[in-house]
Amino acid sequence: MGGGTRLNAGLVPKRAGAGQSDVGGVEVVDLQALDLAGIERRDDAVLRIGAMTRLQELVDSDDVPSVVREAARHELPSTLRAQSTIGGCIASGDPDSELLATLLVHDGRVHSTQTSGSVEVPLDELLAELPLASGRIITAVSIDARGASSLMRTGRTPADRPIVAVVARQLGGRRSVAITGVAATPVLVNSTAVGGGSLLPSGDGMAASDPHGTFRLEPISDFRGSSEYRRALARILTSRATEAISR
Amino acid sequence: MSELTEDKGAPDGGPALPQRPVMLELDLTINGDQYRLTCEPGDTLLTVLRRLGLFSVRFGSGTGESGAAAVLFDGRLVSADVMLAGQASGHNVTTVESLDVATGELDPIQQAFVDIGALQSGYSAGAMVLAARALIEANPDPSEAEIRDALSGILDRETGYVKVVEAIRRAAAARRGEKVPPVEPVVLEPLTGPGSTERRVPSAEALQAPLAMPHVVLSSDVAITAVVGKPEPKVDALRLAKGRPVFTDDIDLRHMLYAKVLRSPHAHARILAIDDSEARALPGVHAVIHYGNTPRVKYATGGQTWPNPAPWDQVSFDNKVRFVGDRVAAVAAETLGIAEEACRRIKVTYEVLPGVFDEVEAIAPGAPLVHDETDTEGIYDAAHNKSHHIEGQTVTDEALEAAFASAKHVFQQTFHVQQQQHAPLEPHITIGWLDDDDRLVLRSSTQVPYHVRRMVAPLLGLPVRRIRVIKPRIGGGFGGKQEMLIEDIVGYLVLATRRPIRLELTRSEEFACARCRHAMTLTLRTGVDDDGHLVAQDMHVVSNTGAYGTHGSTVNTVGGMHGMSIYNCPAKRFRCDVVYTNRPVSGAFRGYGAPQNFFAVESQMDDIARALGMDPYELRRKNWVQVGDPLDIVPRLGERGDVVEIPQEDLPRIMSCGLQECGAQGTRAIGWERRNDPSWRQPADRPTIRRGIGMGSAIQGSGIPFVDMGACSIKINDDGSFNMLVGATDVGGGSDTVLAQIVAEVLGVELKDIIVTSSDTDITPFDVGAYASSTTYVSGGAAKKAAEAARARIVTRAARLLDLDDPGSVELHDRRAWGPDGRSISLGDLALNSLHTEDQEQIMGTASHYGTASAPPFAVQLAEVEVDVETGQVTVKKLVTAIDCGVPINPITASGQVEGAMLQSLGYALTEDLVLDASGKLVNDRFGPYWIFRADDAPVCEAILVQTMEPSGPFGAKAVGEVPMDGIAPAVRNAVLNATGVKVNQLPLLPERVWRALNNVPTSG
Repeated sequence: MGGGTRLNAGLVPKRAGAGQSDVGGVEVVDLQALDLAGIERRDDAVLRIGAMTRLQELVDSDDVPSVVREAARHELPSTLRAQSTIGGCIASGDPDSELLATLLVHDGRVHSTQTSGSVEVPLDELLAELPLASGRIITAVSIDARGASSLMRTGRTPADRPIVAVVARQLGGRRSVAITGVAATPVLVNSTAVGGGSLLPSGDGMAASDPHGTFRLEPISDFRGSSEYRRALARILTSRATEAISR
Repeated sequence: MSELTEDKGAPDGGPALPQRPVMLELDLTINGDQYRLTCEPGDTLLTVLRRLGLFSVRFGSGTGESGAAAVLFDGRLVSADVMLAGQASGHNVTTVESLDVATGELDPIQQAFVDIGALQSGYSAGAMVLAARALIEANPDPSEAEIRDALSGILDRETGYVKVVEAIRRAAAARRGEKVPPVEPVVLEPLTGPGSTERRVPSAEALQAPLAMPHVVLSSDVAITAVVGKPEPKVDALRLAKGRPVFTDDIDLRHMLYAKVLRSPHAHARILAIDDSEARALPGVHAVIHYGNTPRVKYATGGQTWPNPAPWDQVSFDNKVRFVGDRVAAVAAETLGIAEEACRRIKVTYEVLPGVFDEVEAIAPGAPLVHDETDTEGIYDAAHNKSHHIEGQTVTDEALEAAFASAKHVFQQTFHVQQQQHAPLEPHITIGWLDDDDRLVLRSSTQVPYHVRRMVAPLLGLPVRRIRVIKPRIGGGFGGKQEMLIEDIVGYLVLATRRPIRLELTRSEEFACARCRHAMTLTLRTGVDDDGHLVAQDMHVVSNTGAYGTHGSTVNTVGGMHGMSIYNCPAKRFRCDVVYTNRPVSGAFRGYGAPQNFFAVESQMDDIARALGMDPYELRRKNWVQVGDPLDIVPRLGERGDVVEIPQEDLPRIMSCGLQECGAQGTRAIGWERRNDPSWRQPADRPTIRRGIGMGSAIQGSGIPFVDMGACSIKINDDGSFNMLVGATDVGGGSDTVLAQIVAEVLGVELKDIIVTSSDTDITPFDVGAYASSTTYVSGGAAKKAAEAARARIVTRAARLLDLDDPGSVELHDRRAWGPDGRSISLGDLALNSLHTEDQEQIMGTASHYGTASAPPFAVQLAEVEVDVETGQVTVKKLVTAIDCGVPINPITASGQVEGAMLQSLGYALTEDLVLDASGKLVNDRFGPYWIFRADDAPVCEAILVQTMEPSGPFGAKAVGEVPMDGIAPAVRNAVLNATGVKVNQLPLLPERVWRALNNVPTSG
């Protein structure tokens, strides 16, 4: 546990390892003594963000791409931003997380440590594999900070969790799009496929996590938005986000 | 932090408790002091701080979403309810108690909160003050956006954040050494009536004044007063700002046990058997109660005056459950953890029955019967799930149909509104114990302490005299605490264990198991002539009372009464079926049925205007009631079902009405004319955005005539100050302050000379409690009468001391009694004379007051919206409420209530809805998914107080708390109509609902 905010509040989805507020039934390891916080610019492109970096530190950092800062602000209110960590955000795999979507389009790679050694995997792969294996600790996430990005969202109110949010990023001739609210976690998609009847995962990361190529995103329906509506939002917001980065 | 040995012992040498976890040892710096503490690994920082007596850190949700538990942690504002105490070891923690450095004085930030009226209940005051402190230290000149972002982690259900934001701005300015303007009303020129101006632009001074300052339109017939009408700080401000232990849970009792309620997982089931043996065998468990060992005494939970309206369809524990979360059993144990474990060990055998959740389906043939028991009397039609049937009409059915036949246009629409939860930051909580005389004491977060005492007595088999109910400060109520909801459980467990018992609802229980606003399906038919005059109105409501009928009769009667009373119309009929379902229980909620009815009435008014090509404001102006008009349907509503012949002269009439001025001020403030400007409505640079402005108007009551009663007792002290004892229940809106202002005005003293004690059934006189907008009007009437009684004794003695023949010539002001010749005596000297020197007497006054009228307050409410026509997202940019609440006794508390109501009703319009899954389980029982507005997504909220002189109210006052809840939802709906041309007749206005309407996409499934 870094900040432990979601775990303590019982807000971690069951698949992430704890679905109850009573932490008595969960083995808790306090990671505070580890040096896992901080934002480090490695070169012009890569930004390494320690797993225990709090979301407010992302909001306040000039090194962090503006779209990531904006998403970090949307992620949680002030009190919880001051204690929640980016590692916790990744481990939760929250399907509505705009922050995760921004990390996806910025080619997020997750660094983790386990008994067999350290590994680095694309964020989309890790999200597809959640919950984290026992004994595995996220130590950092690195992103490519370059490029132009745009975040579009629809929610019940300006500060509410989005029903669907789309983040698009353009770097040279390459375009990335990630969507929240349409799958079990935020996902990278092939933006050209969004206009069709279903959303197809695409990109290098999704290909790895979907080796059979048969996984089709089927947004859930809930009280904030039906599957049909979420599909429509995905199309509209993708169009807006990609148009914004094209300007 | 380090580990300690396992603790398997039990207190008092009793049976061994379950094995306790390894304990942790912490080193903490709290408010500058070093602490070495032990705690369990699962203890939160909130738990540990409260254990130390730092009660300003409060429970709101346990998920970090409420912010009531926010503290500074190494200077950062964090939620202590989602931080394990173990994580805090080695760190610095600061609570608001650290600011309590001088007796009777406040830190400048606290002072700013008090001055501007930013504290209502004050439940989260400590968190807000700390948020301000952290922000200002990091950023001495924060923008409004930065202030709102800093507050985003602290929910406030009461203020609408307007005055909180301004308090922080003022505190920051003061810290920068800038002069902060005094808090005083901003006077607006009247736009209608005598002395009105044609200018629709306020003075530069008024335009520059912060919206947090009360904006008032004065009425020329209101007398000049010294204390009444002034923005006085609340009498409880110091204790709230300092985070003092004033709420129910802020008390330590030795040997206290913790209660937990086992709740039904089924929406509808019969309990065939309960086996509590394993629970009872669990060490640390002291009592288990359920239907098998508690008496079956029928009652209704609604906190209403005696005799409580039928049906009495509940017992404390039943052998049938009727909604997910219904009571099954309750446990008292040494710890909450043991109580929870004991609940898990109770084996319940259910026969699961089919459930019904929709009010219209519930009255269809073959629907499951929610109440098939044989011992409930007074259900209107149990065979069709109808708890009540309400009717009222001003003409016969034949005359009504003739009126419709004569109408040039007839409109009929059906609207649906949802269940909304009160979501007070302080959940229901009761702590009970036996006092030295073995009397049962219940310290409870309730709006109705006297009703609780009377209602709990027969359930427990105790006479009323053996029960004392204490109401401390209340962390928000909004009608949700107008119930005897958990006090009986605490009472049973106290009597069973003879130990103090604490029962607090979790946030999830608060959502699912407390009370909520009635969902309704409303069908409204209205006939109008070509000029837009209403000629006939006919409303039929199917109202969803959920599993029990508490408040079912009164909410729906009152809702129809108000909904059908704002417009003059020669033929009116209102009918309502109140229907049982297996949904959470509906009850009293601010507005008391009016918001639902006004959503239908006010939405349809815009549709009528649109169809007739009229301005909806002008349509309303043509039809609004005015001074002298009869409230013709009011005395005719009830369960009789026939036309009551009432002579015209006997009808209640409107004696003060500021509707026209409210309309003029409201339309000015919102910029009403823009709604007809195509370039504004469709901004050229934002092609998917359409803008619109909508209006809703409303009428409410001021208490229930011939029912509501309040009382007050006043006595003088040696220094000329006064103790005022009232049974009225201040739930945060400031009624203690308002009543004290009334008393101070009569007695010619300052507000600080009035020491208020409220709501202890052993000490204070009777009051029905805080509901029906009765406190200022009814309890205020009692306070005024009691003060006048004390005044009579004062002037008599003053006349004697001043050698005056006529006590009537004595005036009281400036803390002195004055003769007509200019001689005077201080009230302090007069008190010493009366108490110690000559013909000794305790100068006092006691009075009660019940209303024979219910003077209606009015409101005109407006919303400006932006609609994304591709996504359906509705963003409200601004809300305005112009309210006629008579003479606001305290314009700062009055405007604060209006601001809070605007945001609460905006939640009703856009987000708040108790959503069940197919099995009847609530799926959004947390603040996050449910969503009440935060500081950082609240729109601009502007409140305008339009003074009128109400002759029946104390100093001209009418009610203020409820009417601003009524018109926002239709205003938002009508603004969407203005923006897009689509009619959305179901709340909340979720983006998908608007999107479907815009695209004419039917709901799937």
